[in-house]
Amino acid sequence: MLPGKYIDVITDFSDPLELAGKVREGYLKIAWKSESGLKIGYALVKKGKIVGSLVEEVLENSSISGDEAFREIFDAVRRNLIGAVELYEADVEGILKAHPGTYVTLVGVPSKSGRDLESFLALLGVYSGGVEIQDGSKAWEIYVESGLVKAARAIKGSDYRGDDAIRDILRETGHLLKDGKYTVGSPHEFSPEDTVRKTDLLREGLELVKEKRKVEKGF
Amino acid sequence: MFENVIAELLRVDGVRGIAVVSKDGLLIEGQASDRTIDVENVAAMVATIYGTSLNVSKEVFHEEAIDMVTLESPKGKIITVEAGENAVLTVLTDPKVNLGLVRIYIKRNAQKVASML
Repeated sequence: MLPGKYIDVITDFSDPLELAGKVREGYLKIAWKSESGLKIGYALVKKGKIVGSLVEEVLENSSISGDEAFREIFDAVRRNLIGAVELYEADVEGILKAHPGTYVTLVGVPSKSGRDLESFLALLGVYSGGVEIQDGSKAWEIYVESGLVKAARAIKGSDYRGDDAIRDILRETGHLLKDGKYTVGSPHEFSPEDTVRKTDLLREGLELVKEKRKVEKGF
Repeated sequence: MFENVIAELLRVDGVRGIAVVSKDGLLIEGQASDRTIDVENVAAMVATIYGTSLNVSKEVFHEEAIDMVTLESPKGKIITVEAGENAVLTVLTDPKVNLGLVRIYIKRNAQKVASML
């Protein structure tokens, strides 16, 4: 259990992690029932960004922390297992110093669907499952496992598969940044031709795009 | 929906079960760490105890509200508080539980339940 001052409990939300924006310095506390039992998750927030994470098994007295914990929280969010989110004010720096393992290296707040590059990159870091990406005229499906893209294929506008589909997505980043959106969901079954060999190509490519945009904004 | 409340209370040392119960005796949500506890059964009985206690309070003290109902047996305790207009929150504990600590947690979480219903 983490120290903090209870602020509110919220049940009316579309995406629990978006409530991070309501906390200047503190944490979101959530609980859910999974196949392995009752769990409590903490997402430490500073200036609207998630900077730390901890998940505890209530009846087993065990816990995980950091990126691994945040992936588990995001998985519970994706499966709609969260009924309520408690908001707490807390000394986040103090908690992170006392429990360095809770640091989350992923940046940004992932979302189950969205239009911006930052939340898509954050999603790639925590999510396991299918994602559909589309701009006005083209669409692709990818399968992600803990930050790595394992399979991909175009489903509209072209017929690229596997690594070629990833390259196709990267070629279209200009359109995607303007009109693109993504949604998590259950993909159709992927075939061996959809297997991606360069599993970090999409992430690396998009990170470069992000850096480029930062530089351009700077000028 | 009340996993946050149940999880927080179940972590208090000596707490064996939690139930959020409608005042007419239906279990809204509950969980026990001890498999011998039938939470649904407990829910129905707790609502009866709470209703009867309320009647006693009206008859004896001419007061239509009660803060807490505590049942103590050599094998354990059952503590019940109101959680909003239509529900109560109940905690089942070991006999040697820290009652002061449980009272603090149950009151705090009853407010959460009330605001969530």
